[in-house]
Amino acid sequence: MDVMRPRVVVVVLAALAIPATALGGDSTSSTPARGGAEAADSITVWAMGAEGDKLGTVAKQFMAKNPSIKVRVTPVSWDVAHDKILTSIAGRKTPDVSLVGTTWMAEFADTDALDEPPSSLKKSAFFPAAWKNVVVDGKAKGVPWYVETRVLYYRTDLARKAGFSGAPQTWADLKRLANAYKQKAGTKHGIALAPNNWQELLPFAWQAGSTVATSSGKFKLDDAGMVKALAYEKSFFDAGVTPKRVPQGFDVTQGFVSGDDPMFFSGPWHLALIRDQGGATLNGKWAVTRMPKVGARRTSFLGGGDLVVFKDSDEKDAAWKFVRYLSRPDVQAKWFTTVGDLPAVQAAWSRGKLASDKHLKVFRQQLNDASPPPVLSKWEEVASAINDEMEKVLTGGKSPASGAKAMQKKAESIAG
Amino acid sequence: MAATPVPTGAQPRQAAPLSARLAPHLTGWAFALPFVLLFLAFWALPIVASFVLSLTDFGITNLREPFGAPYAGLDNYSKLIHDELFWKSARNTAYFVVVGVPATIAVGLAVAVGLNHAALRLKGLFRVAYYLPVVTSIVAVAVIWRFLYNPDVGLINRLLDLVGISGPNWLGDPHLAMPSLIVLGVWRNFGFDAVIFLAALQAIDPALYEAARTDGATAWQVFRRITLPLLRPALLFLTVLTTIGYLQVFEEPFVMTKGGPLNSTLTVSQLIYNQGFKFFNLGYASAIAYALMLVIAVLAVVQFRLLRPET
Repeated sequence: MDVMRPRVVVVVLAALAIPATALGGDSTSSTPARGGAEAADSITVWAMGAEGDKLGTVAKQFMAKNPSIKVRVTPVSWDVAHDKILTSIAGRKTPDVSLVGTTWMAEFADTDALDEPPSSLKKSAFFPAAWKNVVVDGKAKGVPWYVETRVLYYRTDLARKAGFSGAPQTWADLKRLANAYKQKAGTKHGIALAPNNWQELLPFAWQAGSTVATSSGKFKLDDAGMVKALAYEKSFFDAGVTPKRVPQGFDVTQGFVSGDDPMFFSGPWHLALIRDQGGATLNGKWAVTRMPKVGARRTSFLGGGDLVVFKDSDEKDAAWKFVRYLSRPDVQAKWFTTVGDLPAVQAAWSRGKLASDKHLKVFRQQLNDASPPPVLSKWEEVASAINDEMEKVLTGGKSPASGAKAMQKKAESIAG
Repeated sequence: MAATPVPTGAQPRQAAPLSARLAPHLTGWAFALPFVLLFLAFWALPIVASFVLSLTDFGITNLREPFGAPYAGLDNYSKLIHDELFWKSARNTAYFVVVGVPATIAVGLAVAVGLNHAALRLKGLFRVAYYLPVVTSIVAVAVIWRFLYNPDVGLINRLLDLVGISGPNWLGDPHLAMPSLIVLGVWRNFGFDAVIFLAALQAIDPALYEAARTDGATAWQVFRRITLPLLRPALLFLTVLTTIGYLQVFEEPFVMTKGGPLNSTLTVSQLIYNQGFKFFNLGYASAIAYALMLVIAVLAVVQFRLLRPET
């Protein structure tokens, strides 16, 4: 009866895991013996997901140009990466370079394990919003590698059927289109919104003028903009044009292709998913467009991946040299064709498909008005509180004002 | 066969030298040593360490210098008392236990009684079938049940469709999510209870039943007055074990609902996981773990007292 395993021990073991990582935490990273007989400087790079699978080819090209540096790429899966990096920091057995999720920057920087990039990596080369994401307490702690931002995907054929010709530009447009899809085009829903996803709420809040956090690093979740955003998103749920709840692991692609969910917000990965699942029949029947505005701004969410070099690395110069190589516009543009990651380096966007594809052009525009979530170390925990409270407002009957107030109260108690 | 030497009681023993007297102890300890070492290293030490952790404000910034974590006294425990989410998770867990434990045991007992009937054919097959969920990976089971519960394409709602009922959003409705998880928990665990009950049933002397029948007892009376009292030790064992397991329920909500909707399936173990591994508040997570352990220990003692065999 393995349900009966005493799980309390999990945390208990975690206590032990901290000193113990020195013994076992690094077994899969196969860190080479540093300063051994090898003539070449050897650096270990951790990368997750598709990046981890494909980075080896880039590393080979780098090594061909820099024979004195040997790069080992260790693929790490995304779901264990966060813990694995933390344990490696605790055990002081970090890799030299790692890809990290953008929302992890602040907490890793707080452990004081990250090296500051050399001045040869120029801030101006990157998208300002992406750079903002690597700055913790006024200091850069890594560099952006790739970016993603959210835009609106919508079915143009069904929009025409519902009496709309252009893309929705404003909050009011979006609301009207969602209603029209359902009422005039007869779709099951008008839009697919997630009731507990802060990544969808924050853009609405920014658009409505909320700052979410103050410049001095304090959370500000109960301002007028946040209340307005909650009320706006709630109106979709109240009108019944968005599914109240979606199952775990739900992917909207299928609903988009079938027409059940003719509109949703998502990142660039859905371009390929829709092409794969929609096939030729869906060609020309959908488009992407920038976030709707309510005032002047169309701010979207900015995510992606950053590259960091660890202080415990013995080969920091070689490590930064590799990072610099990955930040070259030509390497970034080529990387896009390899794994589809959108370049964080602006100059890379003047090449090939990045410059010509009509969908990518929308993303390029949106990147000029995108913001990362607050770079504060308690963000993950605050984000989880935001998810809880927004769900109560959107589906649980709580008022937007008291929801925003509860968010702020929780954020204050978490941030301490 | 009588290998026993001279009766020991009469033998004067002071003659044996110290080393000879210690030898059996040393052999014993030598055999126990591997366990003792593992126990100390992987159980006792972490248990103590996590208690110490629970008295500190250990967070992510202390990772590189674990001993620099600030001492917080009982702050974590007082925070716990005022943490609305903790109480919510405690209520959810209690719900799972209070409904789940009796249901699991009742189903297990019913199945065991059924299987114990001599007339039943294919007894072995049923025994295996009922036990299979117990030995199947819980994550695989939970993933499959997630599909079963899917409101649009899930088997359950498809079957309901056939009879003209529009099925609810099982895991998406805050009132139905927990009962749905309890059904899964019962389904997965009653096989174990059934096997234990079956063994206990088969140990009951058939003569007792014969005597009862001769006295004209009804089937219910036989069950109530003979079977049930004799199953008491098995009942105690299963109650304690199932309660402990259900108090720590984790994988089902973790895979199927992530604690949602509206935290209606957030359990204490999940809260510990979130605090410890998502937010890295190891001090606070340890405090919650200790609170849970305390509840488990108290409940186990109470159950032992209530269900102790009457002598």
